[in-house]
Amino acid sequence: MAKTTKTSCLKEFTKGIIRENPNLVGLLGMCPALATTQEAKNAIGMGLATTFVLLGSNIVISALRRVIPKSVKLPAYIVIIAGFVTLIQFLLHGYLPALYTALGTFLSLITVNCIILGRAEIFACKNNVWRSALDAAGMGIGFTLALFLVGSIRELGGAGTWMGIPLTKGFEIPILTQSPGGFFVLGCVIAIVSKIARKKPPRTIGCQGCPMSETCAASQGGCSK
Amino acid sequence: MNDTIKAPIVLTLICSAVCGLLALGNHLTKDKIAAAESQAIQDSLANAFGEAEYTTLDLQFDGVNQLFSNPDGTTIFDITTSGYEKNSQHLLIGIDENGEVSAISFVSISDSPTQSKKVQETAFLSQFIGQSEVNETYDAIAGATKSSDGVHTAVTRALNIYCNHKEEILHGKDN
Repeated sequence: MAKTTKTSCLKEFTKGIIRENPNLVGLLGMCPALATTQEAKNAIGMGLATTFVLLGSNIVISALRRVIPKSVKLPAYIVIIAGFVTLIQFLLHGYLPALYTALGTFLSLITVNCIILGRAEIFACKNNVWRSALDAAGMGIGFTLALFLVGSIRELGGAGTWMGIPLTKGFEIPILTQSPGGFFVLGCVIAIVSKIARKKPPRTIGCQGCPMSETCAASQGGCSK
Repeated sequence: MNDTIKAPIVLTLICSAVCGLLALGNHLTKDKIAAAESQAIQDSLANAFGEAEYTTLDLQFDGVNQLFSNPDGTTIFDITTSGYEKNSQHLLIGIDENGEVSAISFVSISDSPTQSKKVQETAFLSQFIGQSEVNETYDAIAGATKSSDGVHTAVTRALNIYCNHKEEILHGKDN
């Protein structure tokens, strides 16, 4: 029994790294994945800031899941998430001002990052604190690794540096640091990770996989499926 | 408890708790943030105008955070303007003794990284250097128009204040 629980916890943690990577498999949080990955160090900063917010919000939402009424679920989640985002802004502004300036407006935009709201809605509001924390840590690490990978390729290929260290100067392809290059690199990385994760689209979604199943009449036998 | 009563009470409690925690967070980090901002201004001054003893002038104008002067007679305006988002640009505009813009330096800019990089390039900033009068037209950068507008607004504000309050500023330096 204990072994099953341990395996289940490990699965909860590791699923977000590759198999259910929120960014490269779930295709969520694409805005920061394109906008803050011109340099690898900014990508890590963004990934870690998001992980902090994801971890904090998942833990709090999971702890309050029996207290928050359904009718105010969404505003309550947004307030909690925005609180953690403001907290990380205070910390970065005070202790890492260079990173705070580099991330700019995208730091505030973590509030509306669909990975965070998605994990709160899909996982944290249905599971205990421990499992929610593991889920958030795994998803956060997966997101950070995805950003770091895309950022490293773009910086190395586009600017000839990696983490600010000159490595391939003279062989740069500048477009990689620009928006079209970002789409190209992200697309290539998504293709490779999909191949590794062997993720195929489901043939039929069915009522159970549908996010509207709770309110939809079809799932309650109201009309034919 | 009835959901009609429970829902607003729970939401109010959550909002109050988050506000309280943020107030605590602000209290714990405000000194560090103030020190980081002050250091950023000092670094920016040193980068754009050289290592020197800068004097803070005891003058206040609308839209100017602080006013500095350096030993060679340059007046430096510390200005915050809006670029792509509100108050996203914090700049230092130097105006020399001849009343011409001598240097522009960014303390911080929180527009998107691409826009931020473009407006900090010398190719864009050089059009403002040497200006002694307000010029309504300028070459904005395609794809960073609002960020370009922010810099133009800061230069215009500094020149306007310098031209309209020159005596006051020079007198302030003498004191």
